[in-house]
Amino acid sequence: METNYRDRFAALGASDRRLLVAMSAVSLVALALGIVGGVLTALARGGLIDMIPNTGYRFLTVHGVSIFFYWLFVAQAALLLGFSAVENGGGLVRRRLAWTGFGLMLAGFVFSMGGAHMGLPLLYDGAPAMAAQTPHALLVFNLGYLLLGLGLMVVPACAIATLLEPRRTGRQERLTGVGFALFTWAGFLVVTGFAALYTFLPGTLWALGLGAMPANHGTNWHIVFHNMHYLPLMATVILWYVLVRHLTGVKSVFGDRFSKIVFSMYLVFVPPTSLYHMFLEPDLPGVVRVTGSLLSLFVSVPTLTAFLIIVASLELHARAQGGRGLFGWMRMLPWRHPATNAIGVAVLSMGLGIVFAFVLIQEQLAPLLSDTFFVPGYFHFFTVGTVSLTLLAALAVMLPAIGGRAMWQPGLMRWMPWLVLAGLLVFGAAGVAAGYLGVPRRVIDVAYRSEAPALWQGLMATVGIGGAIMAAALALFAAGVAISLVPRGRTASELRDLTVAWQGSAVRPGFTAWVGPVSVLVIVVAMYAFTAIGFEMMQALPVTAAGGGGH
Amino acid sequence: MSIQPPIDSNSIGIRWGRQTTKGQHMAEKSHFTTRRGFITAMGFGGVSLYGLWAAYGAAPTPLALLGLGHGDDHGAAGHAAGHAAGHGGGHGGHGAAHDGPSAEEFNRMTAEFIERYRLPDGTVHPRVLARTLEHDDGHGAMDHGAMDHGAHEVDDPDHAHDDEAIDVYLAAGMWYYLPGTLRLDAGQPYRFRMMALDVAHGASIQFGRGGRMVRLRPGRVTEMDITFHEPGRYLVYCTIYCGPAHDVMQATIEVV
Repeated sequence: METNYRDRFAALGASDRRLLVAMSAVSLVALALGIVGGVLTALARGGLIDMIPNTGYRFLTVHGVSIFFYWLFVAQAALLLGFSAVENGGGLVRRRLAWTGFGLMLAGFVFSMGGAHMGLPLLYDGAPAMAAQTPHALLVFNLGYLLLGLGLMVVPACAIATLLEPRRTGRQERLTGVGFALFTWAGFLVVTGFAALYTFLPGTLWALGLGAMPANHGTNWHIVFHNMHYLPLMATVILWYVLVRHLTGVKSVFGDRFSKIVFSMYLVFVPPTSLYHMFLEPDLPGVVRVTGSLLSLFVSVPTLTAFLIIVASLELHARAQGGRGLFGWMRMLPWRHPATNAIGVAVLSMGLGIVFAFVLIQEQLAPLLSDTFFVPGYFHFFTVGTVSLTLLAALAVMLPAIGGRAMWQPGLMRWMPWLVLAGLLVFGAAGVAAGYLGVPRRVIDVAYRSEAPALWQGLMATVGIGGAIMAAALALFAAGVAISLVPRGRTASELRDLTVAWQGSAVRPGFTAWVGPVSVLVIVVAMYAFTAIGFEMMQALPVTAAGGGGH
Repeated sequence: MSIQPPIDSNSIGIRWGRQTTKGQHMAEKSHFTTRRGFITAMGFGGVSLYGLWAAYGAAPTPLALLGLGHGDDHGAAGHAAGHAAGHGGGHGGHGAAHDGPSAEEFNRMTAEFIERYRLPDGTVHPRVLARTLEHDDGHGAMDHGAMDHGAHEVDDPDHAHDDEAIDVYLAAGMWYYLPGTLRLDAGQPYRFRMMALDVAHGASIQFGRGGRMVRLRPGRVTEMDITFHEPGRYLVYCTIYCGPAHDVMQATIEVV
């Protein structure tokens, strides 16, 4: 099968293209709204702009809802459909299903944004208790999530039908590695949609007067949040897999079967590890906390393994092209292409995200870190640095190939991911430090009438500055990608010459691939260091405390 | 060593890592860093963090996991790991929220607690009080004797630092804590009994160089045993978003 994604996308029919462009446009609008909400929240927290707390919480609601639910998932849905269509080779089948699902998601976005501006700000978890006096606001807010959930169950059905079409028509004996990954991705989106329905339907029924106020919303939320948190990582890894093929021509030297096994590992290792979000819940039995910690140790296995496959495959091909040195071969990668830089930053961000995630999964550190700014400090490495940049990189490949203009100013755009990383490092470093010191998340003014340590405000100002840099660079990169929503004229893509073609290169069996293992070693050492810091800080607290969660 | 013929990567497919076949020179074997087994093992790299956890006593040792070690390895080591790490022994009932009084009842009990221990400056200072014999007959069932209604409001230095935990009631509502200011004695064990009266709240304690995060669920009593070791003024703050005035939901603990 043809491995040139650009040509395969270009061969898609006009109907498929219209759908993909429409979905991509909506996802980018959600990203833009989320960035605005996020940067205003960060600046207000840092004391850099004046804002009453209620307004700040409303911006935080817009930020969380737009980014976490609509940007990440509408973009995923668009890319899933796009890559499924080219995997099939004949475009999308049951396209109406996809349009219906997209319509549901779009309606959900409108409802969610409407709900975000009604009643008390509900942040992105929409706790029914917070809407006790304004059930109509929760109804509107939750209808958005329910429609999104339905859309997430309908759109992947189109992708699954498309992926299975070659088998149904006898053109394919079994799914390729990429086809299998896309199939798994589609399945996870369906599960995520169902989880959203399961979480938000009880509150909706209460708002309609058809049921009691759900007492277990918090628990259900944590489960859906965990999956919405980690499953985009799987999508990210799949996109790395296909983008690396697009940018370099390289595919896994370990073969399709091994990749299929690794992608299947997400099914095994991600869902059972959601317990660590609940370590502070006073109802959680101690044995569950310990078990949850131990299970959570496995959460990174599929991501790290897939990362190792991709890096080793790249390294071997680069060495076959004459690449030398432990890291020197990386200079041969097509760094002039913005997507390469986005993936490079995504990989680095993933390493940092995993490091800090592993500090949080230790149940005895939950009383120090849960509900603190440590949490947003670390998960922005995933949501912004890893997932968002990868999704944008994939859109930067897909949109020009289906008829859009080439990315605006690729020479400038290739630096934007690195500027995002610079802002992210400032944001993350200050945020993680603030978390260790007990600065709470989801608080606009951390002064507590001057009772809080003065350092808190300084750290939050640093977070605001880092967040503003990160947001500006991300917005510029997204704008560069959004140019590709505009149909191009007769000129071909300007990025055509920015890739390399290493497929078919002579890889010798004796070649080494050290960068992946060395990276994992660095990640593990950093995990040890930051976890030890947590334990040492726990010991240093001038208090003996037991119970109330955390054991 | 002979120069090996190049291999087209796309033809390697799933056989990569098993290139050596009968008759081929050993030098043709792929390097171990490019083998599936090594890649898979490295993928499990994060699991090695368990070693650090066990060293800090924050996870059961391998022997305990296999049921061969002492059953309390985890908890004992957890104590060694640090004051605030908690028991770590997995006896989930302790500290877990449980059914108990309703929010209204808890509010009333908190009001009685405040009334009982209020100082002239409004600060609430729970302590062991001298008791009158005629009332020392079981009123303390609610609070392990620390709050019995028959007690005189007279400090009893002989019992001020005994090992028995003194109950402290803390009610959290939008957007206040009751009591707003607590005075506690360093070294004295306290059993905090806490409840969110309306929506979920936090009752986290800030120590300047770190905090102890606490979540409270509405209508559920959460118990936590606390002993403060150093005098100081500590901020109690809400760490669960609870509405527009969440930012100013705070109390103070003065440890003397």
